[in-house]
Amino acid sequence: MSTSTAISILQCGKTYPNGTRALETVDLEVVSGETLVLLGPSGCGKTSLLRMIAGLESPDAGGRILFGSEDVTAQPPETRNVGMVFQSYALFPNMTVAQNVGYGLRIRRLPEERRRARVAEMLEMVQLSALSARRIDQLSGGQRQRVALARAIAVTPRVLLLDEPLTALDAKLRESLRVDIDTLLRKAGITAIYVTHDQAEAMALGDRIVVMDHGEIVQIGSPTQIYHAPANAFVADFVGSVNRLQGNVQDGVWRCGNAALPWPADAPVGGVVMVRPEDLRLGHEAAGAISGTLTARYFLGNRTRLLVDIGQGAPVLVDTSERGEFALASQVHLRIDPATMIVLPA
Amino acid sequence: MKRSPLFYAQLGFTLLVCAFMVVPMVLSVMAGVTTNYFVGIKSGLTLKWIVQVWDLYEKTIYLSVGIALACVAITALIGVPAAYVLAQRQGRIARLIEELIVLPVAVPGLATALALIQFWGPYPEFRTSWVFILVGHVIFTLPFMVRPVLAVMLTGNLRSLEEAAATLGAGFAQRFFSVVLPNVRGGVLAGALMVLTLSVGEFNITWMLHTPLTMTVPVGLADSYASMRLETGSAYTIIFFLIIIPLLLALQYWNNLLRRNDQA
Amino acid sequence: MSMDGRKHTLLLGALMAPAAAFFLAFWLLPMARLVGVGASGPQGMGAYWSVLTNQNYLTSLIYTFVLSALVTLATLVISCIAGLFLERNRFPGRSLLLAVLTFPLAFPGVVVGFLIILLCGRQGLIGDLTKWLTGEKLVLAYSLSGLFLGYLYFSIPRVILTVMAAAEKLDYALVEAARTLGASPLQIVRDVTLPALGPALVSSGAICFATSVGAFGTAFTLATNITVLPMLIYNEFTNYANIPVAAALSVVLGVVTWAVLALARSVAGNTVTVAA
Repeated sequence: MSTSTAISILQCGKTYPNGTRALETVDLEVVSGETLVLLGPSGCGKTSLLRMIAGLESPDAGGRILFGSEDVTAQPPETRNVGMVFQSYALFPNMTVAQNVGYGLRIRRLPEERRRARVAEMLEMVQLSALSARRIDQLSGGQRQRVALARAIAVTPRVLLLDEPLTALDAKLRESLRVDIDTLLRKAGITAIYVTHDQAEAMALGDRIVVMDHGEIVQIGSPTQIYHAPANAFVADFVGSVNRLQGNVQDGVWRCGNAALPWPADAPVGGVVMVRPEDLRLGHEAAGAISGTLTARYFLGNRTRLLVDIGQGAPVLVDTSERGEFALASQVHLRIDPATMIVLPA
Repeated sequence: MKRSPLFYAQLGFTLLVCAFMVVPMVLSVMAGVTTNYFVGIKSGLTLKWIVQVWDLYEKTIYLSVGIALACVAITALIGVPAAYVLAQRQGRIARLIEELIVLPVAVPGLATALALIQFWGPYPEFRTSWVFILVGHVIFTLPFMVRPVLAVMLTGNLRSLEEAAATLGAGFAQRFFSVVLPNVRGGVLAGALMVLTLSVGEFNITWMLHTPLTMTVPVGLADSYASMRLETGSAYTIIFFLIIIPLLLALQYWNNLLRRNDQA
Repeated sequence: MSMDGRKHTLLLGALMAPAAAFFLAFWLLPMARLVGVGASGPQGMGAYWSVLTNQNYLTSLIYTFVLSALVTLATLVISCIAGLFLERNRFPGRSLLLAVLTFPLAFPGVVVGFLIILLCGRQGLIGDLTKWLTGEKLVLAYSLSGLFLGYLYFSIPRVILTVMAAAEKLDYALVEAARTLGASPLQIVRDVTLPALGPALVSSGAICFATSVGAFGTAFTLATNITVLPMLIYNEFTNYANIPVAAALSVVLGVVTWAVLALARSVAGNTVTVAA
C-alpha cells in the first residue's frame, strides 16, 4: 500500500485538564513502512502518544504532528485517514461483521460494488469470509480482533495504529494472532504504530521499539539493541529479567566472587553490572566463577530457572537448558561471558 | 424442594401486602360495573357508568395521550443530546447540570406549578393552553429520559465506538446517527416508556396548571371523585387502569430485557 | 474537531443548549421568581419564618413530618420483608405478585386516595367487614390512618423495587462465607444483608419521605380533617389568594425535600436517584 507515510512528532506533550502530565514533551520520527512499537508499563504515556497521532487527543500548545510533510496537528481524527485498532475492539454492535469492515468505506462514499469487493478482500485476508453476516456478539474474542483489524486496514490508512490489540485475549490466541498481525503488516508494508506493555510482543513485532516510562521516551532501538544494550536499569528490568551483581573495579578489572572480568573502557565510573539469567553459565569449578548455594529451582519446560544465593541479598536468577538434577543446597559455580556483561550508570 | 416455615411466613406476609395493593383495585373495577354499589353486585352489572364517563370525559383521554406523546417527543429531542453531553463530560459543570435537571422531581410538583403560574401567568394565551401543561410535564419527566439514556451511554464502550468511527472518517453527525443513536436505542425506549407513564399519571403539577378546557385524565378523575357518584368515579378509574397498566407492563418487560442484555 | 478540542466543547454546548434553555425558562427562572414572591407579602422575608411562628402552619408542618416519618419507617420494614422474599425465592406466581406490587407506581395520588376510600371509606370493604364482625363500622379513610394507608400504598412499590435491585447485587458469596463461619439466618440478616442493603435503604427511605412530604393528590381526594403542608399551600393559594404565603411555604417545602435527598446522598453515596 503506497499510501503509507512517515510520521514526525515534534515537541509533543500532553497535560490533562486536571493537571495530570501524561506525556512529557517528546520528539519521535516514524519511518514509512516500519512497525514501531511503543512499549512501557501502564501510565507511561504510550497510549496518549498513540491517541495524539490518531487525533483523538491534541498535544499541548507548541506540539506538532506531521504525516509526511503535511501538518495534521489541527486536523480532527476523521480527516487524518488513519486506521486504529482498539484494545476493547470497539466494533459497532449495531452492525454485522461486513458492515463494520465496510463502515469507513461507506463514510468515504465508495460505490456499493467496490465497497463490497473491498470488504470481501479484507475478510479473506483475516480469514473471516464465512462470518460476514454475523452479528458482533456472535464472535469470539480473537475473531473480533481480526474484524477490528480488517476494518482499520480496509480504508487504506496512512498509518495503522494498534492500541494493545492483544491484551484482552488469552495467551495461546495472543501468540497466534501476533504471528498473523506480523505477517499482515509485512505484506502490506504499512506504517504501523503498536502500543503494548508486553515485551515479548514488542520484540516479536517491532522493527524498532520505543521504551517509555513516566511520560518520557527512555530508549529507541531495534529489539536486539533494547535487549542487549539497554539504556538504563529501567529498560534492562522491563525488557526481560536481569541480575544486578555487586563487585569491585580495580586496575581495569571487575571482580565478583572468584570471577574477574575486564572492565569495559567506555563503562561509566561506578557503573552497575547486570547480567541476564540466560547469560550465566553453570561451571564445574570455583576458580574464575561466582559460587553460591542453590536455594530453589523451577522447571519451565524449555529451560530450568535456578535461584542461587551468592550472599548479595537478592538471589541470582539463572536460566539453563541443561538437564540435570540441580539438587537443592548444592554448590553452584556461575561463569560470565564478558560480552554479555551490561554496565549501566548507577 | 422442601420449604421452611420461614418461607411460608414470608409468603403469607407478601401475599398480605399484595392484597393491600390489589384489593382496592378490584373494588374499584367492581364498583365501576355495578348498577348500585350501595346495594352491591346483586343490583346487577352494567356498562352505563363507563358510557357516562366516556360521554363526559372523552376529551381528557385524547388530551392526556396527546400531551404524553408530545412530552416523549420533546424530552427525547432535548434529553438525548443532553445525556450525550453529560456522558462526554465528567467535569463539575456537567455534574451540576445533572443535579439541576433532577430538581423538579425532588421538589414537590405544587412548588413547580406555583412557580410556573407566577412566572408565565402574565401570558394568558400560553397560560390557558394545553401547551402550558405540556411544559410542566416536560420539566418533570426530563430526568427520566436523560437518566436511562445516560446510563446506557456510560455502561457501553460508546466512547471508543465513537472514536473508532472518527478514525474511520466519520464526522460528528455521521457518528451520532450511525453509531451513538443505534446503540442507545434501548435506553431511549426505556426513557420514553417511563415518560409516557409518568405524563399520563401526572396530577400534582397538572391540577394547578389546568383550566376547565384543558383537563387531563388525572384531573378529570379528581373532578369525578369530587362531584360524581362513586360508580362513575370507579368506571373512570377502570379506564385509567386500561391506559396505564399496559404501559407499566411494557415498561417492566423492557427494563427486564435491558437488564438481561446488560448482564449477557 | 479533535475530540478534546475547543470546537468539540462548543459542539457539546450546542447540544446541551435546548435542554438548558428549556430548563432555565420553565423552572430555574420561575423558581427564582417564586422565591422573590414569597418575600413580597406584608411580612417580607418573615413569610419564610411564618411556617415556624404561625401556629397553624407549624401544626401542619409537624403533622406532615410525623406522618411522613411513620410512613417511611413502615414502608421500609414491609418492603424489606417482601422484597427480600421475592428476590430470594423462585416460585410459580412470583412474577404476578411482582407485577401487582409495582402497578401502583404510576397511579396519581388522587387515584390512590380514591382506592383508599373504596377500601376503608364510609362504603368501604373494611367498614362492611368490621360491621359484619363486630357490629361497629370502622371508617379510617378520612382520618390520619387513611392518609397513612394512602401514603403507604404509593410508597411500597418504589421502595420494594429499590430493595430488590440492591438485594440482587448482593454478593451471595458473602452469605455463603457467613454460613461456613457458622452464622444463623438471623445473624446473616443482621451482619451481612442489612449492611449491604444499607445505602439502598437510606436512599429509598429518603425518597419515600420526600415524596410523602410533598404528596398532594391523596390528601386532596381524602379531604381529611388533617391539613398536610401541600394542602395548606393549595388552600392559601386557591381559597385565600394568599400568594406570598403560598409561595413562601412551597419554597420551604421544596428546600426541605431537596435537603432530605441531598443528605441521604451524602450518607448513602451516589445511589439516591429520585423516583417519580
